[in-house]
Amino acid sequence: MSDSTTLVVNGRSLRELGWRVIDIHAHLGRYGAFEIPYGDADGMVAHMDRLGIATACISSLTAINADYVRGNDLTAAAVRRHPGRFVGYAVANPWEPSQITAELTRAFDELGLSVIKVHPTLWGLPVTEARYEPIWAFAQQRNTMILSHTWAGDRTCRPSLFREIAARHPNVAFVLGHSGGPPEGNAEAIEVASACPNVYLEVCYSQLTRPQLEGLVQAIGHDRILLGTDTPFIDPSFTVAKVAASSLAVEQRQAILGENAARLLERYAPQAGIRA
Amino acid sequence: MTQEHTSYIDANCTFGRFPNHDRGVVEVKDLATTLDALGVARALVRHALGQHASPVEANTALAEALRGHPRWTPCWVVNPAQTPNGLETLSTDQIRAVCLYPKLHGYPPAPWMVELCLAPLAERGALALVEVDQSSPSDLYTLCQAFPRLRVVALNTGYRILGILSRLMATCPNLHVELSTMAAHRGIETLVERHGAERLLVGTNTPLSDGIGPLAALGYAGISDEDRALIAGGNLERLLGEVRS
Repeated sequence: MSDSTTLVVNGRSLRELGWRVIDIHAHLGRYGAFEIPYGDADGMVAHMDRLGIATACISSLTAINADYVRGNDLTAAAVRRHPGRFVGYAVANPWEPSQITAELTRAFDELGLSVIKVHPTLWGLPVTEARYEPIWAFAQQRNTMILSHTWAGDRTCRPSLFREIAARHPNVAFVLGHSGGPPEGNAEAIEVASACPNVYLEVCYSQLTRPQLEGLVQAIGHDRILLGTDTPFIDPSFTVAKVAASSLAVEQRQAILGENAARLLERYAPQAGIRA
Repeated sequence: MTQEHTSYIDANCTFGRFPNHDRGVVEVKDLATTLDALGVARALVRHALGQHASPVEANTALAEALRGHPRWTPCWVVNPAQTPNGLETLSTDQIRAVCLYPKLHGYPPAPWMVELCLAPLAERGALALVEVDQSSPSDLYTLCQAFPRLRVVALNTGYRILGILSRLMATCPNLHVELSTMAAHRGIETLVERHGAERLLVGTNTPLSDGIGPLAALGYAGISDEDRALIAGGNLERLLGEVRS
């Protein structure tokens, strides 16, 4: 077993290797559809410390699934409570397009959030709808990053839908959450990432296997692949372990677990204070 | 830092061909290779034939494949909607664990349906494994209540069911939970805090899942090393040892 494999199987922090782990896809809080224990900021940080996750990029579950204004406030409170441990995603729901620019401005300039999250599946609205345009425009103007949920076959957010959007907004880094999920979604995500240098793939998927992850790296290289865990939706140990215990080269595992995200955040969210 | 584990006893793994995908774990030696890499020492093993072939054919194949391999404990398939149901040709002391697939095999997992098969097993304290998506939480509750001596094991629970599992464990002392897909945030420690560690069993769901995830989740769980050892294998070893001949 490699060193990082030994650590994750034995519940030891990856900080023991001097690795920096950054989770580009995390949430915060509780949820209506099922119980999430320890989903508050303190509960998350305590568990992040066990694994050696230095920083998690979070959007509150309230923001993506219920009330985005209230949810942005919750995200910001967690960022303030644990400086350096969380980077906050701002959310604005495209069902209220006239509110988007004002809310994202408030979130960035008053609340200290620095990147954007969209969840088209929860909103039931395809990313190709004009209602999203103020979000893309804000991100283009601020040179920031957008994480979107993506899933194979989903009419609202299958990976291929992002090809044209990413091409039109070259100042924005688009992170395809879950890399489209199952292997057929991965294939589409790879096509989009191959065509668009500003597209990144995030690997959280509850049924992810190490060969599936290794296939993504084989297809597009490791530089644009990012660790995401979906915590506290899902325990972060599952995805962290699949990267840390993969058969990828040590430098590839380090890059995916954190160094790629550090470069991305330094460039697209400099106000978050993460340095490559 | 936690105590290092060099071996686990896996409550959930399968070998054989699946009709709708290639998982590459066709023979017992393939299973051994996969589980060796995960540090799994022993396992309760099912045959993929149990899902789609007749129970007699599946159990015959399982018995042949595991003969002479004490590392593996067979988990027989039983189909109460068929005659023969799969268990008739096995000696009583061979049967320590069975698996049911009510949805796949098209029968209701109600007491009137399964009693003939399960009542004798319950008297001996055998294990009955049921995948959650092959039944429902209410079916599991009914099964546990109808056969209180049966050790019911909920397999492949998924991560969204923690609160329901917790209520089931509170009301059904004979319900056990296999953890391969129970990926709820800090889920293992939550269940241990509420119900103790004795009814939790590590599983890899090989070859349908990547077993490194649940093993890491157990490693990172905020529980004592004693509880971790029980979940890693002590509980399953005890349960199998308690089945009466």
